[in-house]
Amino acid sequence: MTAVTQGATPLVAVEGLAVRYRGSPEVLREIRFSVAAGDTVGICGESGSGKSTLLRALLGLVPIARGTVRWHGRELAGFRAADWSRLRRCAQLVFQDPFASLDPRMRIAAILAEPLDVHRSDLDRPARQARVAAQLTRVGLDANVLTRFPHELSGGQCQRVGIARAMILEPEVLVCDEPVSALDVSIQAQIIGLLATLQREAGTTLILVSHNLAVVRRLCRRVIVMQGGRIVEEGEAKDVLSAPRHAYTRQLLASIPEVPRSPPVAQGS
Amino acid sequence: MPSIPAPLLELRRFFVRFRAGGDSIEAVAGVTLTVARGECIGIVGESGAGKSQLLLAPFRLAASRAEVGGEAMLAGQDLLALEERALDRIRGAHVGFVFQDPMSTLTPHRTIGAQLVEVLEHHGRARGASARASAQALLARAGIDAPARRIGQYPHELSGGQRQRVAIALALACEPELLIADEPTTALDVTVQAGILAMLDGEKHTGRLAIALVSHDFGVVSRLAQRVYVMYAGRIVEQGPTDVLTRSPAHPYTAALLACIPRMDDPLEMPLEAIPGQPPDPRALPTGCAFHPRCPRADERCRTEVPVLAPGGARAVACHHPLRS
Repeated sequence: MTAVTQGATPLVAVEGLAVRYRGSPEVLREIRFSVAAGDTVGICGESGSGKSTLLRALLGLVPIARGTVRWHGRELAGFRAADWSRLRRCAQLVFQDPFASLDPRMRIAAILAEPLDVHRSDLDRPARQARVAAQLTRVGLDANVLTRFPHELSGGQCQRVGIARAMILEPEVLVCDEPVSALDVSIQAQIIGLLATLQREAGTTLILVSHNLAVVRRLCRRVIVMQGGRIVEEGEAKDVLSAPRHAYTRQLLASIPEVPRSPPVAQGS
Repeated sequence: MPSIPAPLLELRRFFVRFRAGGDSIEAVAGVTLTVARGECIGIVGESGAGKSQLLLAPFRLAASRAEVGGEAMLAGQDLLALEERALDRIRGAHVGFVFQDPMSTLTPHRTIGAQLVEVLEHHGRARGASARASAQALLARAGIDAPARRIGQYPHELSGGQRQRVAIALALACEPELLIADEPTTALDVTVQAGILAMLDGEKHTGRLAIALVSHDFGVVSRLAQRVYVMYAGRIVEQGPTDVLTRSPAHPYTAALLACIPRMDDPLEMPLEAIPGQPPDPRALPTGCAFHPRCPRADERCRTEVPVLAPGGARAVACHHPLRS
């Protein structure tokens, strides 16, 4: 990794950010927060709250109307081609729809090798293949998926492929946009566990967008709650979730569909 | 014998089979299920368990080449013997359907009002100005704000949650006795989901509407359903009152479906209890109990002998080693 975190400079810092799409009112207003390297931050809110736009703004994918986004202290507005290339490599994305985010015409082996082909031409072919194989094991998939196409896999397997692809460049930051909300709850738990393990092992910074605070709680130390394009509450997840201050956070918490607590399951048969 | 009112919907040994290539796939393998008038039942299970086929095939909404059999009765009528025209009158007028994607019932190029009016007129419920007034009232009932303005809008002008409310208004337009809701909130975020579940709960409390709710999420089902059927690989593996199943599941699969939901009060030191593996390929079901490869309690008997659904108290469970028998 060439990018280094220097002293107290956060990995990414946002100041007075506003974003407006053409012909619409501002969808983000006065956004200010920063993410330290290695931290895990959840951005929570309902559809239309601006959380996905915020992710896009962080990565320079939408025009910024006002304010700044800095990576390692360097402002996006002043980025040159080399800076963009480095950001594309250091910040990797995992998307909501595990099928739509994988190229349907490519076999899994090619999907996983592609980031290496683009960014790691210094590695020879056997070295790249070895990385693909190791990555597959890390995300809990069998080698027999390598020759398959995305439509031959289940949603959970596709999302594992998406995560493997994102992690194969050993990114500094993993940006996940609703990574489990399109999956069955049974598979959600697997993917949450996998993300937690990979993040812990690699020390990767995690920025996670989710409408479900119970998912954020599992994966993030800090939480940012957004409503109507603004941050309405922010803090350590354990504080915000146990003692929410904003009415909207309380509403989000009340919306989580929980079942009555069952007594512990008896062990043995 | 005291007269027990006949159930509104009754399926007996109901099956749905497909031929795919040389394989025969049994999506629903002999399920018996009832929905009483005014009752809400839930069907829980993972994708591919056959939940949707179970509730759509009786109304011939399954894939066209499916072979459907067993018994399927709606208010005493044999659904499987009905002609297509008679079934068309039942769909919409007596049974409403809501799907995960509201655009599967909405037409993109027609206004919401026009679509509601069409349904009301098709089933002879209202015409002209009276149909338009009913359409507006239906939107209000479905919790759509400013219905007078919305009625002239197109589906794309609405948010995902509002579209689903419109789809529900369409399904309820002819005051059906039964609403089949197949993953109605799965594509929505939790706040919108909570609003739609509250609205369905309100409809349930009118006492006139029975609901069959299909979901992979036990949390969603437990908010509405009085009784739950847990489905795995085409079969019911446990059924009973919702509070009985959620508080003391007997089938290891039911317990696993409950344990995997992230909760705000579970200890973070413990990883979430994911169900290992994934649902079986319907073309190659495991022998014996189909859940045995993922089950911590499985033994030799589970690998060879299919467990039958046996009643025990308020519930019934199909397991050789239930958790609390």
